[in-house]
Amino acid sequence: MLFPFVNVVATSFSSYKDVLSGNFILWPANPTLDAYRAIFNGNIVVRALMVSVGLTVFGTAAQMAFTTTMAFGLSGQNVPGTRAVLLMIFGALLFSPGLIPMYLLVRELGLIDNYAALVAPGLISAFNLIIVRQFFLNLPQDLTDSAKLDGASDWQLFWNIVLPLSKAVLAVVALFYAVGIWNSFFNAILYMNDSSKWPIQLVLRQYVLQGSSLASAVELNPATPPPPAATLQMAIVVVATVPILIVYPFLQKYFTKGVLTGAIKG
Amino acid sequence: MTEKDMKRTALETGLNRRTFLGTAAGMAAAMGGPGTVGAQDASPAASPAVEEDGILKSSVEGVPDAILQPPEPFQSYEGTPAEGGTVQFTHLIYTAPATARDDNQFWQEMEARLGLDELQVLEIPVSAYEERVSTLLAGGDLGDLFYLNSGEGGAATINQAIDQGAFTDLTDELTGENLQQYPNLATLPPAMWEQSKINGRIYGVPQPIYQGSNMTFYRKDWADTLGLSQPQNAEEYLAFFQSFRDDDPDGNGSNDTYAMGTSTANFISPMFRVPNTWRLNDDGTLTHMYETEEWIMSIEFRKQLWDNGTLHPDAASVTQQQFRDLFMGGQTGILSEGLGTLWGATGTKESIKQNQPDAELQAFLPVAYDGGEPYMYPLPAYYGTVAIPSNVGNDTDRMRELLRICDYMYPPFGSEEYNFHVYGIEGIHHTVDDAGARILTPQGEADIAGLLYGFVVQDLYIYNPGFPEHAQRQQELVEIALQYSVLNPTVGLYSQANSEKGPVVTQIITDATNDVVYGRQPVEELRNAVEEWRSRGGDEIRAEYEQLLREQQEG
Repeated sequence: MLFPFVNVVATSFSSYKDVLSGNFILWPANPTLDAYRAIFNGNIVVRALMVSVGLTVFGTAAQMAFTTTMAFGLSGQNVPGTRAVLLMIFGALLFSPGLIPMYLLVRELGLIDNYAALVAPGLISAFNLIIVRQFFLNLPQDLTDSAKLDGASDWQLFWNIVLPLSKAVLAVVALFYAVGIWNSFFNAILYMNDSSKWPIQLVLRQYVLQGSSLASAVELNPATPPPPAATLQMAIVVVATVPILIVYPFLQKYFTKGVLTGAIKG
Repeated sequence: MTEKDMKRTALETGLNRRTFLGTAAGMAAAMGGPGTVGAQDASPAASPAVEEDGILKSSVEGVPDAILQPPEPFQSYEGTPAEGGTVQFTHLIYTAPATARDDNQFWQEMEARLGLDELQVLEIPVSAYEERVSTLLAGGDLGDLFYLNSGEGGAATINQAIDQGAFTDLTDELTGENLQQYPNLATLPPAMWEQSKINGRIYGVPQPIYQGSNMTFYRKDWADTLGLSQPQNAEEYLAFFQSFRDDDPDGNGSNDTYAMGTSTANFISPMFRVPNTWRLNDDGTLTHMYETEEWIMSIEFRKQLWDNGTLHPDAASVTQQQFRDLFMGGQTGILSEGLGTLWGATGTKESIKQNQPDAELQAFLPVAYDGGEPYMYPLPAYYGTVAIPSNVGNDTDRMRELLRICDYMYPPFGSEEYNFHVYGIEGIHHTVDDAGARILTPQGEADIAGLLYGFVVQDLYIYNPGFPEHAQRQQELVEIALQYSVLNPTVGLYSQANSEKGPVVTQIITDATNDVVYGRQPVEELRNAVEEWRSRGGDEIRAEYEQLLREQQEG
């Protein structure tokens, strides 16, 4: 099961000879850093990585803040308007606007070329909201009642009691959000006019789609021909996936527990 | 050359029927009339190219100059095209974006040379071109200069936008005497202006593209080992391929070489005189290439190549990249590619020597299957245009300023402005070697990247630094290719039915072709597929094109 992954990493370190021999590469015979050098040439990839990391960290934090507070609000007993809001959320789950209305909305809000455009439109995912709300509903009633009797305010209830109990589901939802932001590229295409604000996935996608050389209209330096396409693409896969792979093991135990959260009652 | 090559056939350009007949007549005259036999006897041109100061000018119209030795840099432009202000240039990029403006000396220097306070560049990734064009048109933020290319997607949207007046009609400004106000633009080949017209009007400055046809190349060293000469008809091609497969051309004692890595190559259809997509008959009707006997013959030829075992076993599923890798690795001996990728220090001709030190490449000269006169399918003279959105272009002074900027973008070869445009600042972005060739540094590659895509001035010239004989040979091949050019009569016409149904009905044919070539179905299946093609959209597309051609003739 590890073989494809090993192949990807090994190919990213291979030279032209290895690729052309046509074998399945598990260990590069002629290792070279050419592909990585080519990708990191110029400041673009590093800058894009910083943009992506920044977006993921701050974006996920914002998304978690809004989602959990809203779920908490919707999970309370006898809160007026809960039904109406829930109906709107279901509507959001079912329908999505087309490309042009979305673009015009973001434009009217003045968010074009602003990092907020990559986070704000999808700030609260209806699906994740429902998962979190369901979990909050499953918390024992007695606990919240006794806390209220002791004089806890809503905020204290939320922060000191409900959240610590919900670590599993919060980890799962945070992971969903983080991966979603990390992988997003299309909204950057639409809303980011300034190419220095592009996230890493978009920049690397350009390399992959191009397939062979890095420059289309530029005369290449004969001393350093571009690396073969296969190695370049594999190096890109490595650069784009490694950060998430680093984070994932820490959250894995919560992930397996949390997937079942919304499904089982009681 | 990149994805651009593969998309060339989908272009909509401004070639109308009158121009088509005119050009065809011109080509017949250059050819010496019908009855010329095969490429063996054809000389590259009626008269040889003339050399002047290291630049080889061809006598055939439409063939770019070949640069043997770059001239001393000279100043070609006085002053700056603009006087302050900001310009937003919206265009496509195929690869990673250039370095950000604040860190990019090339960008800043370009602003200074243009006389602008700021040059903003909005880069659209090529895969999302269609969506981006839709959103930008909806929002009205097209900028000041907009790169239009319906070959990359969005043909319907762009055509609609032009009909509704989203882009300024520049025909009056860019023809006749007015064009002389822009001296560099006036030197662009007339074919570029003609072909890039949309509905007969000029909406933008056309971008040059390399002019050679796609050609097929073979390992000359293998052919020499086996004592083979260039095939002159279909029979000889079959024997040639067979020899590459059976007779161990690389001399390593094992039967591991194949002739070609895929079952299609760009010499096959022209060899059988298959029409270039559509053929215009004398009575004004169109016949599609699928409906001709010649096409069936070309598929049978490909089937035979496969049946004889001359093709690589993976031929049915290779990508363009794998096709190329097989050739570069010495497993196959024939490669079909854009003519431009072959030459220069990093071209295929030289880079194959890294893995195959004895490799020598030669192009198959065009021949016909029966030894008669072959066809060649020409490439369009341009790729995309840089247009001016009408909200900006309505101000005549602003429009003229923007056109002056476009004019600045096409300096003559070897001028100081040209060297900056292509290579950047000496010492930072490029270095000059002893032979006078300019070589980009890694910073140069990162800073320049595709920043000025839309104004690819270097495609107007054939230049291979360090390999002047390559440039000369390239020019000769382009001359040969242009001699046999057969144009697609529908180029420049936009058909709604083709846009909607074209891909679907073409897929029917593609599937049937693959089935027949690889032996899954008999050849008669092709005729059934063509019937289906006709009924599910082919006839409708044909009717639309015929109507458009009639309208063009009258209008």
